[in-house]
Amino acid sequence: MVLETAVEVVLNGLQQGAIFALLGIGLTIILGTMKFLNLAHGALYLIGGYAGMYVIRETTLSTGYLESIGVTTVGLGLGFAAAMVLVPIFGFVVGLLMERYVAEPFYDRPETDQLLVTFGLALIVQEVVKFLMGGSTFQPATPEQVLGISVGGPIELPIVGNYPQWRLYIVLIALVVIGLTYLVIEKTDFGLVVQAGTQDSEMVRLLGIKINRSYSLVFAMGAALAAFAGLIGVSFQTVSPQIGTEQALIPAFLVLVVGGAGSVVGAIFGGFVLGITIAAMTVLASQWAQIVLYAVAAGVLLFRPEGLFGSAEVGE
Amino acid sequence: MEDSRPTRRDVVKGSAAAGAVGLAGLAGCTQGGQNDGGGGDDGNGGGGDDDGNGGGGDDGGSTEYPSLGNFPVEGDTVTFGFNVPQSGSYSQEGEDELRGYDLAKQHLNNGGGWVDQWDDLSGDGVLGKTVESVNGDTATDPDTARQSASRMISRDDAIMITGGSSSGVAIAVQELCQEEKVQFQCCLTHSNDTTGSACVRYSFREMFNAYMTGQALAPVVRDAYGEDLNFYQLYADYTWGQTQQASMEQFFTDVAGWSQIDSVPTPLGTSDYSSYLSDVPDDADVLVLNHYGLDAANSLPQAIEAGLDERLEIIVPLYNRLMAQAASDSIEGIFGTADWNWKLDEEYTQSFVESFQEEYDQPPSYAARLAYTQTMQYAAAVERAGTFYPPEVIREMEDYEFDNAGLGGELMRGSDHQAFRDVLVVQGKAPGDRDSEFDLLNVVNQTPRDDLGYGPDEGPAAECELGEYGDE
Amino acid sequence: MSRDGDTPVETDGGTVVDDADSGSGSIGGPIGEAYRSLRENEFSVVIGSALFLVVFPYLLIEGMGMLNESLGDPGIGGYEGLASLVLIYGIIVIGFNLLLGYTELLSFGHAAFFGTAAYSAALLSSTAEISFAGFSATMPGITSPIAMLVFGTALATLLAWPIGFMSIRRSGVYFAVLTLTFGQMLYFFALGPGSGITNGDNGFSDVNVGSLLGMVDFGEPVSQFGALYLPVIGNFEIPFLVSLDYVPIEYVFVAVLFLLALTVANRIVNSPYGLIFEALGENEQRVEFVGLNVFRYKLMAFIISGAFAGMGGALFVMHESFIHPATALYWIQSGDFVIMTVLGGTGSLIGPVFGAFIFEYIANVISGATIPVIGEIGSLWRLILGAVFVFIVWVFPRGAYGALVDLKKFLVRAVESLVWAVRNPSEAPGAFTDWLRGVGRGIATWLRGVGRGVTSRVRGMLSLVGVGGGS
Repeated sequence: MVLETAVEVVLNGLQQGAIFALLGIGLTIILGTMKFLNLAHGALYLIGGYAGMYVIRETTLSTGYLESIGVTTVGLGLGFAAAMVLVPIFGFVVGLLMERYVAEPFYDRPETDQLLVTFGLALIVQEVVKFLMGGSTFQPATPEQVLGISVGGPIELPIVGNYPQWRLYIVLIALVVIGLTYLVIEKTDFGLVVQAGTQDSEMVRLLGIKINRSYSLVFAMGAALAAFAGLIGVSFQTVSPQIGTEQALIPAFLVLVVGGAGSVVGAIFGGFVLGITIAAMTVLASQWAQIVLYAVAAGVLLFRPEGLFGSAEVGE
Repeated sequence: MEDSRPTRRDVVKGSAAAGAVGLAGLAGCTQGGQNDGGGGDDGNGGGGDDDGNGGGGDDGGSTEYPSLGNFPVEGDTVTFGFNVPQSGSYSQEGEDELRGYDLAKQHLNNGGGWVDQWDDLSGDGVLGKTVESVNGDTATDPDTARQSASRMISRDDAIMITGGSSSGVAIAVQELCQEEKVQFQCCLTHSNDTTGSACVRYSFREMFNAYMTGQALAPVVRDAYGEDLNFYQLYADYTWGQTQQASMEQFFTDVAGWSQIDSVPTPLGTSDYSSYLSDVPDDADVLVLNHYGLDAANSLPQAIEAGLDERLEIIVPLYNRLMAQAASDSIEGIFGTADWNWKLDEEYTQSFVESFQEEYDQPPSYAARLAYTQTMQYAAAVERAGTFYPPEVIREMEDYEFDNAGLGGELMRGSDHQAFRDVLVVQGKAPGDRDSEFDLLNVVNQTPRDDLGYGPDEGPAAECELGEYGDE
Repeated sequence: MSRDGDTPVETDGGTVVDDADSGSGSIGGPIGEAYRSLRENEFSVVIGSALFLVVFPYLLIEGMGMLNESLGDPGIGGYEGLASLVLIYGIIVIGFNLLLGYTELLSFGHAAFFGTAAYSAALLSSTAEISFAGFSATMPGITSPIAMLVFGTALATLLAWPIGFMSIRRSGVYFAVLTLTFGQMLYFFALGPGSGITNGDNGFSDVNVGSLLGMVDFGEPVSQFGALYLPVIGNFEIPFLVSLDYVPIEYVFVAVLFLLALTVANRIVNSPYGLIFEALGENEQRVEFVGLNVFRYKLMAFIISGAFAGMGGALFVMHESFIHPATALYWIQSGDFVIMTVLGGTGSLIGPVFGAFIFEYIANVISGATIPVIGEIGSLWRLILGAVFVFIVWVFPRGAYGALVDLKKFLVRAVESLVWAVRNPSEAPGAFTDWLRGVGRGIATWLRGVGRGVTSRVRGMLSLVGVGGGS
């Protein structure tokens, strides 16, 4: 029984942790490279969520815009697969635009101004989504099939018994994306610039590297990851305009402080630590789950302000 | 006590009239009720009701009654406040409620729907005054709702507020309305407390409550699943969820003979229930999900996804459309209760559904019916009373018997302002049996009101003290 | 974050742009001198504010009502409860600004103090049975508004000490996140484990506000008591005194406290303490080198702002008679304090109050307005607010009040110059050139503000295609 609960906690924690990690990576590379604090990071999650939901609905359901203009999409079964490609691209483009038109004018302004303007932007995005899509909630867009593989319904697991199959795929998909991101940062030239930027952007600039171009790419990449997290989120939770601030923004910041600003490994680790913490606390004392989550973050901030993996200077 | 001292807002109204004399600019008077009277009243003390009411003429005896709350209604329009969730967990219901409200307003002003069928209503506004409305967003949060209602009362001079869709909201707002002496017509609120421990004189509820859900559901599920079962509950941690799970425990234990393993609170607005669901013990035979709106739209599909329906029976005490649609593939056979269903074969139901469908191209949910009927009933009571004076309207509604709201005979009990009416026990339809995306539920049983309910001193009503009319 | 702060607004030293004494000399003359010294005088600030507070409800209701009429009644009047609400938030943001505007610490957790005070004041006045962790107690039902206020503020202040003590150790975003974290912990506590005390998600409604000093009820209109009341003298009505009819005692109570808060804040800002706060915001190291205990001063600023937020929270719960964790403690409430403060402008004492007014007016009145095309604004008000907020942050870093002050300064100078030119026709042409230059400078400053975004964006784009260096 104890073992069963423990395994369930780990599985539940991994799902939540994967989403936290995806959000945290984006936030941390943006902060680390550009010293830019993006309170609109949750809005990117929101945008990803809605975009994902629409792609899935349009391509799998028998109703919707495509259907209304006579294109029958039923039976394609491509919905989620299509969304997995389109949503990050969409997020990437939104990130590019955001970097150029919102972030860049504020690189030279005090960090409080950055916090404030992105906070305002987060409000605006949320309200615009509400205005365009209505305040209503949409059902979770859980796929039954992805690329012909049946992913819906429960699956019999050892120890824990029945478990929703899709949740396992979520963890798998997220881990793949996180792994790819890690490789990009660790193994490519672009990643080297990012890493160097998080250490010392002045030096990188002195070396003649066109860091502004990298800025755009880093920002867009962070945005794409957040949007992808949104897609994962809506595949098992309902969608409403508040998800950006309620489900994404604050967790992303908590991951950031736990993992350490600028550290990709830290963000991954922080995401899973917080995910598993919340899953474990829900089982132990559900009313205290959120409180403990924040307490963990506060504890790290107080006793190890650079985060578990961060370098001390970034963000201070 | 007899000659009630002027409250703050009486004086406000009086002085607003005085201000109009000087400046023709009234505070928040959205309905063009300016320039009434000749300028006689000095806006101080006493009645403050303007006897020289130029505009509407007959506003139903404003000369007979002192001002109270937002009475008298000045000008030739009257404002209703529609306070619904436009965001938050119950926003889907809010959207449909608003449709119901707007339809009611339209019918009251121009005729149509029940206005043509009810003798009390004329189709020429209410007491000759055109009905206007102001909308507010409760955000499914009691405090926001209260602030919104408070604005409607002082900014827009609303004579009646209606809305809800969350018992926490309804209770918070009805308390405010009692203080302000403005009538509240509960819309969607199912907690026992609304007409139980938190009941107020100025609020009426036509919807049934958690207690009645227990009474209606227990015999049906006992017959369907058998006796000697173990059940496990999850409930939304606020007034509705709390009374709902208590009522389920009471009736499943007493009537069905089941025993409860545990009952676990989940915060309102939880989006991932997987941790709670994986906690459901193996020896549970029945899982009761006391969730509603967004919560239910998450918890039920997640429960199905986890395969819980394969090893136990799931019960959703209070069905709603959002949840049914969200889990539409998997609600087949799941029992619950509902306030009303658009497929009922009944004359008032049919005429309402017809005009609703004509207007919005879709059938109404029960939230829309509640909104519509609550507005109509208030208007009818005003017409019967011949005045907007709140105590008279309230007395007109108390112990009123009617059979024209789509559910057969109903009694609005005077002692706790709870309607006693039939309750529908429903079951989710299999995808193949549906006519449309709105045809999700099968009415298994229309439990007659004689089999339900409780005496004025029993159950939730035992704790109810209504409070003052305001003219004592 | 170590960026060379080349923001054009803050010149070295003073917070106010010091372009007055640069060239134009003694244009104001003795009158200008008197005006300036009057402005400097703390006492006069208080008197001026007091006078304004007397006419404020009148302006809000009748003035806005008139505007509303002239616009064809779209629903943008005012109403009586709003005046109190604006002042309550005004008190909070005056304190918040001591922290944000002067020591430049951005807290995202001040709802913690607001909410704690609101709940403790509410609990003090109630007779509810509360329980937590096996203990239970019956609340005393002390309904005196003053007792509620003092109790609420005291608890908030007590809470601000440990939270400040821990948070101040970190700066920048970490400070923001820490304060947010403590606030959120309280929020989830009130919602879940502490619901035996707070009544959780149902909200706490057993709030009983008794009479003030055992004499007057909060809801009574001022006119029933005050000797101030002069309703009608013959046929002649004194307009704003008529307004006292619909001003409840509550407003007077709030207004007096607002005045008190403003006086205290004014005192602090103009004291050596305030100068140190300001210096801390500008350059912490310099303060440290002088040998002052930076930590202690920051903590003090934090506690003071917490006390102000607590005062506002206690008043808020008396005003609403209801409190819910989402309004009391959720971080969105903290965010609202930030928005109000920044909206109004952090550069001055009174600026944030201006922001509180804009915020509450949009939230409570504009939200009920009906405009063409869109119809009733309703819940879209946050969109409007967000847009206004971003615009202000972007273009007027000193807030709406700062923008107004600039405009006023410009107008005053224009008028002064004109008067002078008429008096001294011979020197006028030369002075006119000066004046033109002054105007030019004003416009240039403003343009620089607007253009800052554009230029750096262009720079960014250029560098993206490989032209020019980094920013």
